[in-house]
Amino acid sequence: MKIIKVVLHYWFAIISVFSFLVGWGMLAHSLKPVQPTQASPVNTASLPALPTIQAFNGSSGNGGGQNFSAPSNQSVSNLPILRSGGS
Amino acid sequence: METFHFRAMNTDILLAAQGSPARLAEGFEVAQQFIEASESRFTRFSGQSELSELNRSAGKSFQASPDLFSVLALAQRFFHQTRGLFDPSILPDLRRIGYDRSMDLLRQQPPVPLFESLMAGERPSFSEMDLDEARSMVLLPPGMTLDLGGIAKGWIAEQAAGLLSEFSSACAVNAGGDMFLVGLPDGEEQWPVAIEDPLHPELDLTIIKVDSGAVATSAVTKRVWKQGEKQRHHLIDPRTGEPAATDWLSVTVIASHAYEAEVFAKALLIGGSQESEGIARNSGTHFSYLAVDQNREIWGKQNNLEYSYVH
Repeated sequence: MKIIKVVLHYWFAIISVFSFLVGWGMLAHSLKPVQPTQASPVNTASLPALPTIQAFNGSSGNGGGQNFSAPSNQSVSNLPILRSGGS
Repeated sequence: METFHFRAMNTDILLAAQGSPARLAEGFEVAQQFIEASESRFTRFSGQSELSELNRSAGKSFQASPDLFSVLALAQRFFHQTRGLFDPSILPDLRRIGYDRSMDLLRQQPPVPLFESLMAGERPSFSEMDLDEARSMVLLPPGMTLDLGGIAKGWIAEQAAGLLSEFSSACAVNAGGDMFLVGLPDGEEQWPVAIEDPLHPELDLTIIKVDSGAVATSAVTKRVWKQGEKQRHHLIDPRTGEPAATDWLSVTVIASHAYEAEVFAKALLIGGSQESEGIARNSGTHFSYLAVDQNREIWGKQNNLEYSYVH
């Protein structure tokens, strides 16, 4: 029984050291990542300039924006929203 | 117009009415109490409900309350008018595919697939239910159990609207899409009702304009769950005992009564585009319907129904 324990002890030790060395060797001989030496140019789309906040303001008077308002002839109903869609 | 929201029957309830706030507050309370009491009577998810008592009494005569007897009589009538496509006795099939608890609970904990779920069992035909109108006695054949979910919800919405109308000149009760409308709001010629997009329930697909009466929608996209690898929905085709394989996603029916709208919405959805004409023709009643297909296109029989797409 004692002999078996000793043999197992040495067996695990040898296997551990061997595995470590194999792993080291594999890493040492693996391909290295390519280091970029020069930045490659990237094509970017040119975006139109955003309109200024004044362009959306009716008081600016420059006519370049839109005025958003409810139509004056639209009656505001106080009816609740009745929705049907199954339950 | 005043509104009042609460949750009952596993769905959102909306009461809307015009009138003096004090009277409406009383009306809302009366309607809410009726809805909650009716839910306790008709639910299959409580062993104490009258419906559960009836289901346990199969094989013996059962003394039904006037409300339960009324709904059973309607169910029997619509079973024949839809030629069996509306069938409340499919409860064993619903349980077999996993709908054995309320949808709120089912969404929290999906059912475990059982071996029994692979096999649809034999069940007695709903036509074998015997109603004694003179004594309000019901005799279910042995082995029959009923689910009155949809028709009861429509009936409850309509009754509640009737109660609320005693406190208001115009009112609406919307029970999760099954609604009953009484009168017309001041200044309005019709009630606008938005029909949900079945694939995107947060969006409206169309708005219809309806007079007093009922609107109900049935959809295969709402009460859905997974049983093992199988996608399930709650709309059982009584001919197969399985969730209906239909080419429509939802059907909305506009009719005189909420229970009628609910029943025919279900029958038309099960029948799909192939059988809808026959179902409407043989129904023995007049209604309009809108069906939404897989491409979200609207089909149906309008009968002068005015509607417009939202987008």
